[in-house]
Amino acid sequence: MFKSLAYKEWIKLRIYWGLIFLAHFVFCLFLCLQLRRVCKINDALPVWDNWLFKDYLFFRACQYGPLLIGIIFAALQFFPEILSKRLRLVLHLPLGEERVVGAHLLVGLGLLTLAFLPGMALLAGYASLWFPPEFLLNLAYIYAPWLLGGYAAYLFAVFTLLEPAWRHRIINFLMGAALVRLCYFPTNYDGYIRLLPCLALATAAAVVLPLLSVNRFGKGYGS
Amino acid sequence: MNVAPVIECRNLTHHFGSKPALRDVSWQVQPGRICGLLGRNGAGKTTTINILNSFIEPTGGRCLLFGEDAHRLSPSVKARIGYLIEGHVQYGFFNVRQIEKFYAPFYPKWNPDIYYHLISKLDIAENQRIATMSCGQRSQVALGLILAQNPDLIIFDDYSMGLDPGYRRLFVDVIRDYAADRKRSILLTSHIIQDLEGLIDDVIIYQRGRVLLDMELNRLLANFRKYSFDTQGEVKDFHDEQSSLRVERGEKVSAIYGFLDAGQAAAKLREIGVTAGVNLREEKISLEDIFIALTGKY
Repeated sequence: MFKSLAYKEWIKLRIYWGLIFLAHFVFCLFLCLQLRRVCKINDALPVWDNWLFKDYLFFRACQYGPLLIGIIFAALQFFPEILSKRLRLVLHLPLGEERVVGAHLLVGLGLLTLAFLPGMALLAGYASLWFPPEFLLNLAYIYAPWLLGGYAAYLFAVFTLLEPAWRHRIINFLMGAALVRLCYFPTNYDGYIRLLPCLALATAAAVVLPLLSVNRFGKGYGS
Repeated sequence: MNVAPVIECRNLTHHFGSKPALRDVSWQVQPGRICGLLGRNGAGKTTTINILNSFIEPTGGRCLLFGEDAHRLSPSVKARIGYLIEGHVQYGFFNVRQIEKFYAPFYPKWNPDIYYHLISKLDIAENQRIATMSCGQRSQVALGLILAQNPDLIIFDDYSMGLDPGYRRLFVDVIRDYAADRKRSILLTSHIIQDLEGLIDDVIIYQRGRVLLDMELNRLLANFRKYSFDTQGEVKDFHDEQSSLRVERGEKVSAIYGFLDAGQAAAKLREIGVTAGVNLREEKISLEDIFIALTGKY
């Protein structure tokens, strides 16, 4: 059954996912070339110095990438489901509501991860040519809240899209905006280390929210 | 022998805010029967269908499908119910083959031959996307997917919406063939009432969220009558919902409708003030005429 739902999501999303994956990967490639150019012209040391003491990050340009991708992906995945209330088609399948929603989210989060990872791996791999391992770990700490912001944006966008009543949609959107905002405070070296577990927990907890929306849909709210 | 109904609505009540949509509605569908749920726009048909499919939780009362509460259906009971959504809604991104592959694993009694047989009657390729199909073609894909489930109960919500006469006829013929073995039950709603006359066994008519009439179609057609008579000065439009009686004044010819014979009709006319002697002529009446006589034109 999960395989069937995954098949449906793949048929629906494969072209969009391919484009998102490609865009993210090309953007990361562009950042690698930028890094190479700066390091070739100035040497790596000034780049380290700017990073450590002037809070200038060569990869800050991808800060809002996961956020945008999360929102766009949620819209592409769930907009066809709410058009003409198509959600009724999957809710009528002989499965529980939880399994249906869970399978959709699992596929969505999985495809998002597959869209993010190769570009990030490329960036990390290329940066390792120029920076010591401590810097790479720091890179991961800085990037992690942005990535969590992307997942949170996806989950809250799904929560908002599936909500049947407009008033609640606005509330859901504001709640999502508040959580996502927490992932985007101006950060410097190790600035997010203590907050990261809380953000990760909050994002993980947001997985249950779309189920609330579907539950409200099933109770006839917004009809 | 008492047979458990396939669908049972008990004192079903629902409000949208302060607006009542269903008021204390009770009816049943027996196994092997085709039941038409009819009503004007806003009468409560779709609300009932949505309650049956667990998309609305009723304010009061309950619906049972195969003995289970409609809002807590087990997956095994859900697998026995086919559901056609109003407008033949399906996933437009799938093509004909892909959508069959998607649905098949969910239903233990899935029979792809039924689906592909229906598709073969249409002028479509197996790799054609559903989004590019006409409304009629889409309706047959949706119908084929439901029939391939081999369900014990099918719920069709306004199956005729957007269909031309050819596709409507095809739809009705396929439903009739499918239900011919009398082992499966069907509940359907439609505004094209003339199509239903040779199809349904039982009829339920809603009016403003209430059950106005619930009976076997044959009994209704045999007992509900129309008598026309020449219009006289004192004839006025009259309607009594309780006794299913309507008098309709026309320019030259007026008519009285109801469960009555000629004597009772003449007596009723006298009772409502048509005092002069009237020459009643019984006229052939269709289900659509009966529906309009019961629910009115306005």
